[in-house]
Amino acid sequence: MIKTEHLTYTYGIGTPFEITAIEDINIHIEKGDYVGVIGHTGSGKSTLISHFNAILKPTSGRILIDGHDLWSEEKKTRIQTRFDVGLVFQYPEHQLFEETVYKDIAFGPKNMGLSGEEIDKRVKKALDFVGLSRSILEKSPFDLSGGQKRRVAIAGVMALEPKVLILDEPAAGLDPRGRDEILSRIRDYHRETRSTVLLVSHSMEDISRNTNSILVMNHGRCAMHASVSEVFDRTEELIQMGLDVPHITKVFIALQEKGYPVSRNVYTIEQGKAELMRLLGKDGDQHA
Amino acid sequence: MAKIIEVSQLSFSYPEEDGNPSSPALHDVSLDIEEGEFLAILGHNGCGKSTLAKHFNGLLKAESGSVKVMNMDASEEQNLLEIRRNVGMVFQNPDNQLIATVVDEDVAFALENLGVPYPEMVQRVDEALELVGMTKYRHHAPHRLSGGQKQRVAIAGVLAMRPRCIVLDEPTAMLDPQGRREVMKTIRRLNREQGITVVLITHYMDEAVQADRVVVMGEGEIILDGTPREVFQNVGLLHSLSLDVPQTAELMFALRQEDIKVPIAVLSVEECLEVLEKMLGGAKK
Repeated sequence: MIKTEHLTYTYGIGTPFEITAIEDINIHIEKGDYVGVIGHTGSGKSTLISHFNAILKPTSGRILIDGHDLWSEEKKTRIQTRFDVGLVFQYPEHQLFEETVYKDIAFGPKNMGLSGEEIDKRVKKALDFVGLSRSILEKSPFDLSGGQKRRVAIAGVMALEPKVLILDEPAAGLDPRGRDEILSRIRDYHRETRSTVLLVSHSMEDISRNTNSILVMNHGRCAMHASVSEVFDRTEELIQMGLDVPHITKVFIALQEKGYPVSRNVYTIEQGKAELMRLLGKDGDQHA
Repeated sequence: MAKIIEVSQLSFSYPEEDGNPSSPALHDVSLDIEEGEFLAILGHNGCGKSTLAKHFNGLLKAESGSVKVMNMDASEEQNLLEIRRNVGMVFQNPDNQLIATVVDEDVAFALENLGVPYPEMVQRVDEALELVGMTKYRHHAPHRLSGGQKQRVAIAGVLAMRPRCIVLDEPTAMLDPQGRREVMKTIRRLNREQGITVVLITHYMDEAVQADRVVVMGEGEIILDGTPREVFQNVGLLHSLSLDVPQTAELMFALRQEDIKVPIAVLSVEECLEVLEKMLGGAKK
């Protein structure tokens, strides 16, 4: 779905502030995958994802979306890409601007030139995805709570029905309840639409609980791109890169290193409990 | 130990909007904070924790009840300057808190406003940057720093005032794991080595377990107040308040539901390993 070849981007070329934000990125993201994107601040995550819907033009290298080379084909391709790849920025609620929630969510679909009927259908579907009730459609987005605003902003991008949905820290600043709510909505969206989803996050717990594979950025380069278990197996390297591994994973890696026959790939409490129950000979069968 | 902040039966409501009376943000809250303590405050968004913290240096004024800071009434206008010199605040977004174009000028900002003489200002800025480990970045531009570094500069700006207490409202919410580690290390050091009282509002349980004392708020009231070990015994209650508990305590809670006898308040990876090894006994191959 997304392919990059030697993708490199340099900010401020020819100025004293010239800095290469990403360098020689070669990745291939499969259609329908749910990918976590992690990396320290300034590792190039935002620069990378800004290429996926043609906001940034590579300094060198190529980027292909669904087989289309974004910058060698005509402009039409890039315009289409803005609809095919939906990008939800950090703190997207700062970008709400319309008089009503309805108009705000309808803004994208309207720009796609869809019929009134189709727009209406998409607005309501997107609202369902983010778990808000129809009664708020005529309200001003500015009268909503922070968590509701965030969801309206995400619905506005979902209403484009993009083939790829990219979310940059969608849970930042939310409390545990708000975070779990948003992430489970995104999970449902991924399952039901079978679209490709990219989740950028600093929370190793959120990444491990939600995504199938992980892309690790480090100082502008792609350091790893593999399954969740392969990535979190490289604890030491991740910590060196300023990242981390969920606590529960650390516990099980240590247990295994002490010689206990447990899996190293434990990311959730449920998985951890199941492993221990199995070891204690108390798994489901004996209880039944 | 002396009390640095005394909150007694504090209630507060935000002004009503469009004629709809708002529900009270704080209801009859009493809380004493000891000099030198490291206190963490937990609670879901809207539970009143930031509203409470804004009373600690007079950003908000008690509606009923009282807030005393170092024995000064925080609702008296003439005490505010002295209170704010002694209780500094650090907020979530470092980009909204840094204003100068060079790090040391940013740290000096409050001192300049107070008219501190130049030689003393230089000395205080040096000292503050040293305390947060940012001395070698003193001539850098703040916007070129990482999130963790920016937040440490914001902390230095508060430290330059030589406060007795620092209140941090979700200081790591926007940081990467390394930035979070840096900020937490700085906070712990200031508390242990400099004896500065720390009030940390956070959603991260692994940060709360590093405090001496944890206060849990819900709907404008204090629900739990104790050491991390005491507070994290209450896994069920914390869940019902939509809060997390440390993953290790969560695992213990899950095991206890299967009638396995393990302690609940297991707060670190090392401690958890110890408990599990004991539990598994000879289960090694």
